[in-house]
Amino acid sequence: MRGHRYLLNKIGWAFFTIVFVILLNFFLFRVLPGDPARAGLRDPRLTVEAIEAIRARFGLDKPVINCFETLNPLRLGSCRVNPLQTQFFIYVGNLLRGELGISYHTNRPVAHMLVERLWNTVLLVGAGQVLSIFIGITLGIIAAWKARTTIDYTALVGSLMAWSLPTFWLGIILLFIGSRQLGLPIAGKVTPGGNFANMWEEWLDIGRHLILPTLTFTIVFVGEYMLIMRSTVLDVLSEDYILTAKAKGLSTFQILKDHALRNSMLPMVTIIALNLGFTVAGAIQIETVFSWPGLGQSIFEAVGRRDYPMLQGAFLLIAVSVILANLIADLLYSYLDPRVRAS
Amino acid sequence: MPAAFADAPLLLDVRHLSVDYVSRGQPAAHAVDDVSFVLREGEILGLVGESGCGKTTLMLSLMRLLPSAGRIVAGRVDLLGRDLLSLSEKEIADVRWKEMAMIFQGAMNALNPVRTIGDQISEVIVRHNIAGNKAVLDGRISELLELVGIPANRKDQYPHQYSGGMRQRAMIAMALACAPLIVIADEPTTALDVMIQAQILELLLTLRQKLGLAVILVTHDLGVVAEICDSVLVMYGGVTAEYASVNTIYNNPQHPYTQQLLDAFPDLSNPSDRLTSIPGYPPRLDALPPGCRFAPRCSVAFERCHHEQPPLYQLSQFHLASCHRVESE
Ligand SMILES: Nc1ncnc2c1ncn2[C@@H]1O[C@H](COP(=O)(O)OP(=O)(O)O)[C@@H](O)[C@H]1O
Ligand SMILES: [Mg+2]
Repeated sequence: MRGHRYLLNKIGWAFFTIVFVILLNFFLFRVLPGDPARAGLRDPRLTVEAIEAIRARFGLDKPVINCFETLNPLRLGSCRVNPLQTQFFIYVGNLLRGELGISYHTNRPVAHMLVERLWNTVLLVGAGQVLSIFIGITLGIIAAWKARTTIDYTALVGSLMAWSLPTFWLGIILLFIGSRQLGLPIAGKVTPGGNFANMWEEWLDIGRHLILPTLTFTIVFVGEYMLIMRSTVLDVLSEDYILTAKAKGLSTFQILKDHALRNSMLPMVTIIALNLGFTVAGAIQIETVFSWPGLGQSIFEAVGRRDYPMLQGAFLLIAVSVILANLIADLLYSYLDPRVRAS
Repeated sequence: MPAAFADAPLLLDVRHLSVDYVSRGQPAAHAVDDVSFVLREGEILGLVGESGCGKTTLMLSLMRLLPSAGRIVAGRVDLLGRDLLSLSEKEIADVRWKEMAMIFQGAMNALNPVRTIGDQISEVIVRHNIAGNKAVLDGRISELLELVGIPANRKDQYPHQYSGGMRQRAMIAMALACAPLIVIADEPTTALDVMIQAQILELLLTLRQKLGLAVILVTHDLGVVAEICDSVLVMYGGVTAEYASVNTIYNNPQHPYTQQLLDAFPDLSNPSDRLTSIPGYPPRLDALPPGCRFAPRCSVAFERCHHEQPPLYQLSQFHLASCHRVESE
């Protein structure tokens, strides 16, 4: 019963946060200057009718919301319009149907563009996260168990260095080494114009393209995971129940696995979930260096093009993934720690 | 030796055990210095002394569980004739809990908060291959919990769902899981209120009767000692102050430290007695006085006490005390 209350409470909060994000996201982009019609104003070839047509196409001819014609510049309007005929409620209505508007740049639905890119990012981030989490946690446990030995210090210095390397710089160095020494592809997801005999060969090609960006990603994140895991395990190892476990005659491996690991995973779960949520967007630098056609790259491009609907869609996607990742972390946390369920 | 135990089989024979704590750039702290005692089947030995006098260190070294700074620098620990200090890591791990189990100070944190009580008990049974199959294992866990007065249906609960007293009972159940010869209880009741304390001690006594358990009870409460112990080892600053049967300790204490501890202990039969406490502080282990370690706080110390450490004098067959006054008498 208590467990259900906890669950509902957390889901409720996630829901409210998403509603708040939708509001913020909508109004933020109305406050920002510029829209495609106004960009067109400077183009002498566009007739007034053409500009009006553009505005109508993107729904910009309607008031932002009751009482406000536009927010930037701030222009008040009639409060007695039908709310369903305002930009805000049209936006919300579209959202509920899974539509995120139309890109100013490509004129295609934003939702389609995002989904395409999202899978590429998930591929890259997923591979990098799994590797860095696995390696980081393992290294962290070993370093903590061997605290203040050469092994520990080596892992510590290595992780600190990896953590402090600038992502961009590391990517370029790896790109350089990987392509010169190992002949790995330097850009994109598949070899352009590649002709593949079967799906297996195509996947192999994608795999080869994945190596360098994944490696960069792993190096960037492994240090953080290792350092946090190390200090958490060190804390846990000084707990009384670890002494009990030793007194019970358990082996080092059993103590680490059955007593230290699960207790140390509690703070890790939160950090991993947050990182997972953020890295939907956080791969911007790596995707740019390796021309990986992911979300990060498209956000980067959309900023340059002032493609507001695309950015708005991407931000919403990122925010929702962070919120959902947090929700998952909370639920996982309550599964791992019975005390959370009780309180 | 109390008569009842003089001819019981010898379980544990600790001889001249010394433990240092070493840390870089600092002189070694002699936390335990040349301590000897024996434990026989069914005996309850009380280990008393102010906090910091090395009780926990002595107990941990019996199971070779000292923290990394701790070093056993001399002595022997024989369990049924086998020297525990010369066993390999793997061999001592087999001895732990199976032959000697330990209940730690502060049961609050001695149980893993994210695993159920039953799970933590079953873990040690499985480790030492006591129960053959799942059904036997489950039966054993229920039996253990009921033995210490916990309803068996609470085995799937977590430590935070137990009260302090119940957690300590669960620890005791866990200690009994592999039917050990010896249970070491390091201040098992310190964090508990008086009622629960009495219940836990009562439980230890019952278990001794039922299972023939030998117990080392670490405490600084002389009342507890009087109630349930057979023999008493009084420690001061890492050394043995006095070692005798409980009767001798109460009726004929020879070491001034023991005498003062008894004076400091409120006599429940005479509540008007003023509570006295021993003035001063126990010595710092890295800066011990040259003579008797108790001399700086001793009201009857004389010249010799301040520069010569007293040996352990044998006063009768089972009465040892380390005090110069004993010799001159
Ligand atoms: N891990 C350690 N490192 C260094 N000194 C320690 C350590 N543990 C205990 N000591 C010292 O050893 C002495 C004995 O401690 P302890 O055995 O815990 O005493 P007691 O259990 O009687 O209170 C104390 O002076 C304490 O400061
Ligand atoms: Mg202690």
